[in-house]
Amino acid sequence: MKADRPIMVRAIGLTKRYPAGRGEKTALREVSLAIPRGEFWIVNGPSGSGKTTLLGLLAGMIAPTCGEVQLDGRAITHWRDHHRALVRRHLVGMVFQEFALVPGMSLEENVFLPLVPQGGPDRAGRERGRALLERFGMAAFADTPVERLSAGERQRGAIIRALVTDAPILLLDEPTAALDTENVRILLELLLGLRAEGRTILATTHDRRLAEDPRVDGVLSLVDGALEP
Amino acid sequence: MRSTTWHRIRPLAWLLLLAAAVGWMLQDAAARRAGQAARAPWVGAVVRLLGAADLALSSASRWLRHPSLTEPGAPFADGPAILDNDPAGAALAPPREVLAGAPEAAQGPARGPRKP
Amino acid sequence: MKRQLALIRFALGSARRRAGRSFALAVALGLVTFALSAVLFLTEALRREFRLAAAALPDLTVQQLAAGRPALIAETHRASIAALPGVVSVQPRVWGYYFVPSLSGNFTVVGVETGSETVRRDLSLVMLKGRLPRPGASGEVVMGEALATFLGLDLDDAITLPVGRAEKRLQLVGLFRSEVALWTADVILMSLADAREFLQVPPGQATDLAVRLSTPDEATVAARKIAELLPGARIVDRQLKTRTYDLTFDTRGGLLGAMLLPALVAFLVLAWDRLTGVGPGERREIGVLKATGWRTSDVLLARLWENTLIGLYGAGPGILAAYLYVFHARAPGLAGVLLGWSTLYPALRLTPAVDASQVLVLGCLVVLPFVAASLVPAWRAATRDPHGLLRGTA
Repeated sequence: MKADRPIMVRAIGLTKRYPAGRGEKTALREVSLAIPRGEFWIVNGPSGSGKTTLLGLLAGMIAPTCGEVQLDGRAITHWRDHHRALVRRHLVGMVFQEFALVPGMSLEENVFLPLVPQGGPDRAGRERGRALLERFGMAAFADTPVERLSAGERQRGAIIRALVTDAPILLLDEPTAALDTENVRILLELLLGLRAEGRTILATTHDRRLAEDPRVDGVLSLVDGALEP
Repeated sequence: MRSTTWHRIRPLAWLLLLAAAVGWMLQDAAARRAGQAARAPWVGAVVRLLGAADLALSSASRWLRHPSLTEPGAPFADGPAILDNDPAGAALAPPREVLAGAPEAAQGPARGPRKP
Repeated sequence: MKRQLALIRFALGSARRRAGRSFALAVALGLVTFALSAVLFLTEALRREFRLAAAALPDLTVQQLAAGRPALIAETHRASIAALPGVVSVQPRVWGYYFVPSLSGNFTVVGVETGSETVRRDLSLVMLKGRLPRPGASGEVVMGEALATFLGLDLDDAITLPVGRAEKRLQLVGLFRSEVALWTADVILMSLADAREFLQVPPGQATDLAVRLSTPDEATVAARKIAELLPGARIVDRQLKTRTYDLTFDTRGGLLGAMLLPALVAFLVLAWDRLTGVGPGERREIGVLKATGWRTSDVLLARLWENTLIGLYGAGPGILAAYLYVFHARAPGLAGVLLGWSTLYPALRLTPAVDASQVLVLGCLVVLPFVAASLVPAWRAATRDPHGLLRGTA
C-alpha cells in the first residue's frame, strides 16, 4: 500500500444485520477497510462470508445497520436513495456475480444502460463505449442479444458497462465464478490494465487464482462476516 | 445492423401509423360532416313537412314517434319487450330537467299542467 | 426532453421484451375502448342529426290535454293565438299513429296541404321516386322506403287498411329519399282530408297547432300568454324538445356506459393484477437498473411510459375500430341495444360528430385510469432495494 495515495474506498465499522426467523442474522461484523486510489484489492472468503453484502454496502445499494462508507472522501452512508443512485452512476462501476445483464437487450444497449436516465450517451459517452467494446474485443458483438454470448463474453460486457460512465471505482463480485482458466487470465490482465489507468478496484472472490496472484495490491480475508487480521 | 435499426424503429413506426390512422379518421369525419351540410335543405324540408325532428328509431309503441309531444315520461319508460301502444305507461317520473325551462303553466306534475 | 426520449426508447424495449403481457393488456384495453367509443360515437351522431333537424321545428307546439292525456285541439283557437304579439303563423296539423298488429308497432301518419306551394316544394326536395300527390286527390300517399318494403309495396301499388269499421285504399305514388330515412322510415304522408279520415280526426279539430314566432327567444313569454288563453293546453317549445332528446340519449347512452363500466373496472383489476405480479425476471431487471445508477424516479418514469405506450397501442386501434364499426358498418348489434326495439329501422347512415377533442377525451378516459392503476405496482417495484432484487430476496 502506497501511503501517500488518497483513500478512495473506506469502510468504518460496517455492520449489517438482517432479520432471520425470530432473531437476526449478522452478515457483516464491524468491517473496516481502506483502499487507496489506483490499487487493486481482493476480498477473499468462502461462500456466505458476506462478500456480496460488503460490496452492496460499499456501492450504496444497501444501508448498513451501523458504520460508515466513504467513497472518494465523501461519506455516502446517510445519503438519500437518489443520491446514492447517482453514486452508482458516476463514482462506482459494479460488476455483479451473474453479470446482471438484461436479457433481450443487445450488448450495446446493456452497455449504455446506466446512461439512459440522463438522456442516453452523449458523444463522449458513445465514443468511450465503442472504444471499450473494441478494447475488450467485443465490438463485433455490439448488436448481439446478451443471452447469446458466452460467460466470458458476458463478463466482459458487464465490465464494459461498469466502465462506460468512466467511474473511478470498480467493484466486482465473484468475477471469476463462471470462467475457465484462460478467461480468468484474460480478466486479470484487463483488471491490471485498468489499475494502470488509475482506477481503484476491489474484487470479491473465493478463487485462489485471483487471490494468490502476486500482482494484486492487497488481500483481505472475510470469514463469517468479519475481516481476519 | 440494419435489422437492428428496423427492430428499434418498428414500435415508433407503428405509433406513427396509428397517429396517421387517427388523422385519417378525423379527416373522414370532417368530410362526412361537410357532406351532411349538403343534405341540410332536405332535412329542413322534411322537418317542415312532418312538423317534428324526432328520429324514426323506435317502434313508437311505448315511446311513440314524438316523445316530447306525447308523454314527457314516455322516453324514459323503455321496455324493449313491451309491445303495447299505450304511451302512458311511464313507471318513473321524468327528471325535472325535462320540465325546467318549459312555460310555467306546463310545469308541475309530469302528466298535466298546473292550474294557473 | 432528451431524457424523456431515452426513457421512452427504453420503455418501448421493455414492452417488447414482455411482448406477451404487453399484447394482452393492449388487446383488453382496446376492447374496452372500442365498446365505450362505439356507444359515444353512436349517441353523439344521433344527437347531432336531431340538432340539425331541430332548427326547422316550429317555435312552439300547442296541444290540448284532456284528463292529463293528449287530445285533439279545436282549430278555432288558431285565430286567438295568431292575434298575440310576436306570433307570425299558427298552423293546425293533423298527424297521428296508426297501429298495425302485424307490424307490432305504429307507423306515423302525417297530413299535409297537398295543394300548398310550400308543401309541394318541400316534398319535391325530399322525394326520391314517383310523383307528388295531386291536389285534391284522395288516397295518394308518399312513404318512407323502409315502410314500403315492409308492406311489400312498389310505386303505384295500393293497399287497403281498416279504418274503424270501414276501409281506406291507399296508393303509393312517391317514396322519400334515403338521405332523410332517419326521419321518414315509418311515415305515410297523405292529404289533410285523407289524414282526417284515416285518423278519424273530425273537421274543426287538429292534432296540435304549430306556432312560429318573429323572435324565437321570446318563446317562453309567448308560451305563457298562450297558456293564459288556453288553460289546460300543453305548450312545448323547441328547447324542451331538444333537451328531452338529449336526455333520452344521455339516459340510454349512460345506461349502456354504466353496463360497460364493470368491464372497464374488470380490466383495471386485471391490469393491476398483471402489473403487481412483477415476475422474477422483471424484478431482476429493476434491480439491474437501480444497481447501475437509475434512481427510483427514473425506474418509475420508464414504467409509466411503458404503460402509457401500451395504453396508446390499445386505445388507438379501439377508437379506430369503433369509428369503422359505427360509421362504415353501421353498428350492427349495438344500434338495436342502444336505440331500443323496433320493427321498422331506417338504415343508420350517420354523420360522425367525432372531433379531435372527443378522441382525446376517449383516450384519456381509458388510458389515464390504466396508467394510474399501474402506478402503485410500478412504485412498489421501483422502491425495492436493488441488492435484494438482484439476489431475488426482495
